[in-house]
Amino acid sequence: MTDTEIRPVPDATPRRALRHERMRKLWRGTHPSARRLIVVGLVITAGFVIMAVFAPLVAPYDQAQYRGGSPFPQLKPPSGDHWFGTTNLRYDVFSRVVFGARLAFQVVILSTISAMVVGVPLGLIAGYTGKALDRVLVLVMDAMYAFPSLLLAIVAAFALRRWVGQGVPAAAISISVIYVPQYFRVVRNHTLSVREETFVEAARAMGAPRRTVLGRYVLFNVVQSVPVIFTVNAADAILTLASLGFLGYGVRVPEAEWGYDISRAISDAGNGFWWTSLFPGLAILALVTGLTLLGEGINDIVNPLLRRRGLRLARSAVLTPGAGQPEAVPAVVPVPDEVMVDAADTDGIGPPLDHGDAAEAYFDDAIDLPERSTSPLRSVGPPRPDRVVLRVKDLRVTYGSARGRVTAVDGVSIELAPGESLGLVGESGCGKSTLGRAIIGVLPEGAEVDGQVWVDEEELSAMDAREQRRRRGERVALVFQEPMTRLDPLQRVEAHFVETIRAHRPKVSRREAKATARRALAGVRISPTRARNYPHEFSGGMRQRIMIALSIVLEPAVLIADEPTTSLDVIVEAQILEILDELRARLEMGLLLITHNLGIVAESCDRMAVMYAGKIVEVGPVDTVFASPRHPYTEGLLTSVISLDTTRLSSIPGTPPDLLSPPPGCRFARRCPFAMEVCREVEPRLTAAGIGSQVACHLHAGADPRNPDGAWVPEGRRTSLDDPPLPAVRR
Amino acid sequence: MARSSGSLRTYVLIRLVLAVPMVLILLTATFLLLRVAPGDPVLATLGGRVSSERASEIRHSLGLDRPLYQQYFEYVGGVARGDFGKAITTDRPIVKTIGDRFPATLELTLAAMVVAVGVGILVGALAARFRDTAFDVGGRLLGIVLYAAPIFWLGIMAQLLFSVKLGWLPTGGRTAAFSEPRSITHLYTVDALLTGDGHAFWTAIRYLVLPATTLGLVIGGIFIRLVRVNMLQTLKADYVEAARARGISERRVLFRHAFKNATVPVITIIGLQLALLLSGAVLTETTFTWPGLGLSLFQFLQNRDYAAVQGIVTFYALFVVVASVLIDLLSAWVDPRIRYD
Ligand code: SF4
Repeated sequence: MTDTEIRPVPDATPRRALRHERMRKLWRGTHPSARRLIVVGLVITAGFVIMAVFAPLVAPYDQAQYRGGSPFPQLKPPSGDHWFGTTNLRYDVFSRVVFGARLAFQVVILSTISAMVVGVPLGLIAGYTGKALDRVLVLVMDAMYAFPSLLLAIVAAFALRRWVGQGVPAAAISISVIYVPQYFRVVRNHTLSVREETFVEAARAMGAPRRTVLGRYVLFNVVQSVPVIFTVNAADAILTLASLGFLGYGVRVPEAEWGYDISRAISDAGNGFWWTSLFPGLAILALVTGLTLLGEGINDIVNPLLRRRGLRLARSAVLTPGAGQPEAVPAVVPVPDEVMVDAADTDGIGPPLDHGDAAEAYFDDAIDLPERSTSPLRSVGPPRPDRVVLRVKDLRVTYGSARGRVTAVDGVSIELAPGESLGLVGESGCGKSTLGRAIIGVLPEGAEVDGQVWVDEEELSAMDAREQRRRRGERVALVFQEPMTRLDPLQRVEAHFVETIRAHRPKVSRREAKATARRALAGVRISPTRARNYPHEFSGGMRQRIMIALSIVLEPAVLIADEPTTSLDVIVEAQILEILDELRARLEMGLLLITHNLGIVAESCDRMAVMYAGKIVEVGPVDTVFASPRHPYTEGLLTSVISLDTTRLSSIPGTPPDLLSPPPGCRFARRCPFAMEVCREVEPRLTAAGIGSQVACHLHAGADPRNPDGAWVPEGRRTSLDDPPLPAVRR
Repeated sequence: MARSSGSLRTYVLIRLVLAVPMVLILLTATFLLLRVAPGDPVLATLGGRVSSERASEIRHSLGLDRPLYQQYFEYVGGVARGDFGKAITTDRPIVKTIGDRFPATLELTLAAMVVAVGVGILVGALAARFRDTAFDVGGRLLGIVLYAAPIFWLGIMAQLLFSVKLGWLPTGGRTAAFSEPRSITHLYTVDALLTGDGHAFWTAIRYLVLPATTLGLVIGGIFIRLVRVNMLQTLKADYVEAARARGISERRVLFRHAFKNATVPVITIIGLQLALLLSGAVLTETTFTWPGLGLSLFQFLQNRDYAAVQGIVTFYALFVVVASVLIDLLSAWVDPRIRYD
């Protein structure tokens, strides 16, 4: 350890501050009742620690003797002299409970130390060397872990008795046998993953011996998981010690040990003397409860920090088959990885918004060159404006988050005619997905919706939950973005259809429903013979087709497709779009296609709406918008698509505003090349601009409510409807 | 279907092959701890109660005077033949003891598992459903407190209340004298049902209730926590949301999708808790003088009978491995995805 100048964390101070900040946020993010439980755990544990440390002061008598002249009475019920009564052997129960705490902590601490002394080096060696040695060690540890832990401790105590006799050290070693595998595993997994990380290589390139670097990083990481493992193990160790004591393999009598005392009290209980067994047991119960609450609390708070990391560890390190052993943090149930990510992302920090730092992602994704007129799929015929299948009016959706209320959708209105397809485009986080979900009424908990939604002349927003549910899937359906996880893995594909059909039409028989399912599958070009397969037997594209078939099987009036092709490759994407188009034409369905891909909009939509920061900034026929975008934002979007020939996509600099406290005036003002003074003060309203088009920008007449007839003109520019398109916006 | 049953067969094979090293490791560990550790087993067991000639005679008959490696191979070979050795104190083959006592342990653990799963699923699922309400907090707390209760203490408290104070149920034992049903499965409740012996059944149940509930509640504590976490996760699952979006009723979404998916890992968890269940059974049997293998183990421990302890622990090790293989196969059968991993 000579190379002390290589530091594991070069900028330790800011990182620590950051972590504290995050911890504070996580603490605040936890539910109040959960916080209360942590505090309770802390108080109980602290109480026992104090009792253990100051046992001679707290206990009125010694654990195995009676002070003063006359002996205590035998089996005396609780009284002023003996709060918890006396035992068969004339001991004071309260004093023994107090001293029992002392002994319990001694054993817990000793056993933890000895488990770490064995487990940590073994884990380091296994993780560092890898290969055969690692595999053997893992196998051995797994076997130990799988064995009943109490039996393991008993066997150890039994063998040790011949060897070192009975007492605190023997008990501690016996119990530590149980925890060696846990420390081993945590250390091994950290070592293994860290070994592969580039920064270790980098540090090595700078001259630090690999071993030193590794050791420090691993210890740094292991130290983080120790509090959780320790509290959980301590709780377990106390129970194990008591069980060993109960079976006569705890510590040497007459030392006070809760389990042993309870075993002596069995016959008392049989005769109705309740106090000799009740109190030691309550002590165990309380301490173990306290420690568990504390451990879970720490876990809840620390784990989200570790989880992402742990996830990677889990992926890279779990190669052992059949290992049912929890990963880095033992308090967590072993669950599939995907679920953990999900939980980490949403737990306690408000509902999942589709915002994020993906501001740029939008532009980078928009790579499809729009060549709209060549598409044969747009021969759907003109929409019938006399009927409207979907009408959304002034819809507002807010979420509660840890930092306050976020307005994800802010007063949006749209209309959709039968057989018409409306493309809804915008960056990630602009609220387009939330809008889709709000229409159908599936929003995460804590979302508040305001405004009106009509589907097919019925106002959904005025219905009760039950009626709304009846319309879902029947009159309005939703196809989600990622098809892989949207089908119940335990149900056959066919069962999904039967369930959906019968949920809305209970009179349809199972048989008919199955036949319908097969027809629907055929409609999306999936062989009906595969109806009885499970979801995992299909590819992503097929699953999305199944999802589509499932959505339209009841022939809804409106279909909302939320990024239906984002996770699929280009060829599959084309297939899906084609199928959607076919269905729309055949069923005269209104299609709301939510996407960030302008190519898709050009390909298969009649009209498009552009959303920015929770608001619609421009609506119009696709041809018109593509030919002459009116809103600077729309223009920016189109430019970034068209400039594909350059090596780097041009994009609009900056990021959307924070929806927690959106700025007054135009939300695009910070990024808009034409922003004027009025833009930062007055919010532009959506006003008609040309045939079937609307735009919300002060460059166009009517946007400023104070000046309904005129438009604002930035210095050095003319603006009228006849103007050529605005110049490309470039970085 | 041919495809999935084929892969199921492969999975079974792989799982069985993987169990072999596990068994070997456990046998070796047991051997090392109980045979190789310093000290003479026979003297430790019988102490000064026998003459030194008698002691070496016993040593010889147990094969303890042979080289260690030879003892090791004899031990492993014996286990392979189903021979778990002989008790030093009773001179009786351990296999006989196991045959006599294990059915009682099995009956107790199965009954306890029913209690545990029932309590765990009910409270856990409801707590998840009513997340962050008072019910949820109460459920979680119940889970923790139950797990924190020492089994033997809970048993004693139950005896105090239901047997001593209220006099409703017997304090211990497996059934009353002359109430044993005719043996078929050696599980008294099952046998009584099979033979249609109502009295024997009722008696057996009365003796079973307290021990099974005690053990079941403690294990149930873990189940509450695990089911709750699983259920919370499946309630957030994409397919649950998708089902809601199709207008499936909330009840159906809960039971058919969320709950069913949440219970698949529960099967695996049962497997993981099996070890705990066996440990718990030792304590429960000791508390209620339930004549199972755990009580035998306790008695042999008291008598410091090394050979017997080794034999019984070996049997437990085998049982755990075999049972965990079976559980894995069961979950592979329930969840079609597992077979493909
Ligand atoms: S209102 Fe102003 S800031 Fe907003 S887009 Fe129009 S010109 Fe730009």
